[in-house]
Amino acid sequence: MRRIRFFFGEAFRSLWRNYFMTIAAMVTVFLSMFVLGVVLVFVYNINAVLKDVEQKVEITVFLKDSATTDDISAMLDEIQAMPEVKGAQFISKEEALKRLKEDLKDHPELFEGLPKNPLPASFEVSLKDPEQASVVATRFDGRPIVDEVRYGKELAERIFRVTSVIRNISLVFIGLLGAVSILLISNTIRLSIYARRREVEIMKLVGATNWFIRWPFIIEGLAVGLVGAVTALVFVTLGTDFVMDRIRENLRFLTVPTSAVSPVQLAAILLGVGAVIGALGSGLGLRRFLNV
Amino acid sequence: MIKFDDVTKIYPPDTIGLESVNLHIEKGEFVFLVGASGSGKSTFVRLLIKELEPSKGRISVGGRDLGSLRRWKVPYLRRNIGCVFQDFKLLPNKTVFNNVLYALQVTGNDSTASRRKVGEILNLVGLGHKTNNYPHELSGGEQQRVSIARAFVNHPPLLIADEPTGNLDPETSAGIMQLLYRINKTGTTVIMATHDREMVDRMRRRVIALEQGQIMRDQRRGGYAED
Ligand SMILES: Nc1ncnc2c1ncn2[C@@H]1O[C@H](COP(=O)(O)OP(=O)(O)OP(=O)(O)O)[C@@H](O)[C@H]1O
Ligand SMILES: [Mg+2]
Repeated sequence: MRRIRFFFGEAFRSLWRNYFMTIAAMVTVFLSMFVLGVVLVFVYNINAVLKDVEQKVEITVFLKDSATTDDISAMLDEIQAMPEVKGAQFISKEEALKRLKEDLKDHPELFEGLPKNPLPASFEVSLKDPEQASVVATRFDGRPIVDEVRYGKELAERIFRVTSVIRNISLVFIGLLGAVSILLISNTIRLSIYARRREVEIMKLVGATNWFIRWPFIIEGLAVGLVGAVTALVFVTLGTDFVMDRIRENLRFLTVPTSAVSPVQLAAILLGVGAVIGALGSGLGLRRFLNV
Repeated sequence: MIKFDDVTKIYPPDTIGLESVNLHIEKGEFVFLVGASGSGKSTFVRLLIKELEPSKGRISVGGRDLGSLRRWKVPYLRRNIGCVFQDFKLLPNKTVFNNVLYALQVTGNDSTASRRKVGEILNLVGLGHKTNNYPHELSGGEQQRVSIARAFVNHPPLLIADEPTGNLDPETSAGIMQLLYRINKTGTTVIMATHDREMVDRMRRRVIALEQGQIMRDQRRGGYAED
């Protein structure tokens, strides 16, 4: 117990003495963990939204304005007769506009001076099995009254393609920042050892084992990693709460899940990665010394 | 206790530190190591704590052959050899008390009892009132006494002092000599490298005289110079 306290005392005294390097290393860990956290939250939320989109709006068949009521009721019957279909609903142009106005009721100015209703009428088709969306969707291709067919999965895939690019770029960025953090920590440790090389020599002459000398330095690295990660965690948590609130306020029609990534999971990942970065950094810094 | 068997130390490329040294030191002895500057006294000390490796020959301490002592075991050897260095080698960022305590902490001893022991030994060397000062706030003689306290706080079977009275005034030197004498009385083997002619002549102990790395004289109750 005393021994552990001793190691921590040594570590924190040294961090305090080299506060400039300490802060520099903490800031880089913070940056990389912050980006990692943002990407995690972003990816998790997008996935949740995509799943939601995929499940809810299964197939939407947009109709041309030229479609007659007869065409429409004939097609509705046809759709309802399909074996894969669970239910189908006709949404008229007026109803579509009403829905949109409802969704954007905080921004009535958007609808001012609208010459005519720009929204198409549509069928909303739900399926027994969402997997069959593409099969069913192709049946509407080329029909005279059909303008466009969209199904949730397709939409989801389209969003996914964009987000995966963003995610991959972010991952590379995180990797770079992570490497910089490790180098900076190892440099902090190396400088701190270099500054104390005479002390280290004395410690060895008095009979300290390498591990006895190493522990405070390892704790230094871990502390830097963890402080950076905790700060990042705080910022990511507060930041996502803030951003989510804004999104929910402004985009009522998008159901953004309250919390797609659990805070515990996020904390575990960020702190874990932060600690690993710290340990790797001090390990690297310690590698080539202690040969007195 | 200590055995040197035809030990030679050559600093690369060709500076002789020690040359063909044979000696035997028994447990409980008090030995002066004398010789001009550059004669090899510090080399002798550094070989003993395996800070240096001999170029030739064998050294054994406490029955253990240093040549075959594994690297990771060296700290355990050093805990059994209290070392007082000419330049004190105190940790600048630690107080007097923590400097001495450090020698116990490295052995895994950090109990209330070990803290009491540190207090006692600091009283013994007359520094009970300076325990919370830092080394740079002390005089040379005071630092030297801290260094002795640290070397002896473990009660090691062997104490080596490399010119412990080097830069000190005669009175302080006498005090330190007195301390080493008392430590020797507790059964600890003491080896002291020194230039202090008067001290050696007064004590009449075993004297090993080095010259250019070679033993010129090894006398049971000798003086600084040959009688
Ligand atoms: N690290 C080293 N590299 C090269 N030569 C060295 C080294 N250390 C000591 N020497 C040489 O070895 C010889 C013996 O040195 P040593 O330090 O053992 O002498 P000493 O008797 O302790 O001298 P002093 O009384 O001045 O302390 C000297 O010629 C010295 O220059
Ligand atoms: Mg010397």
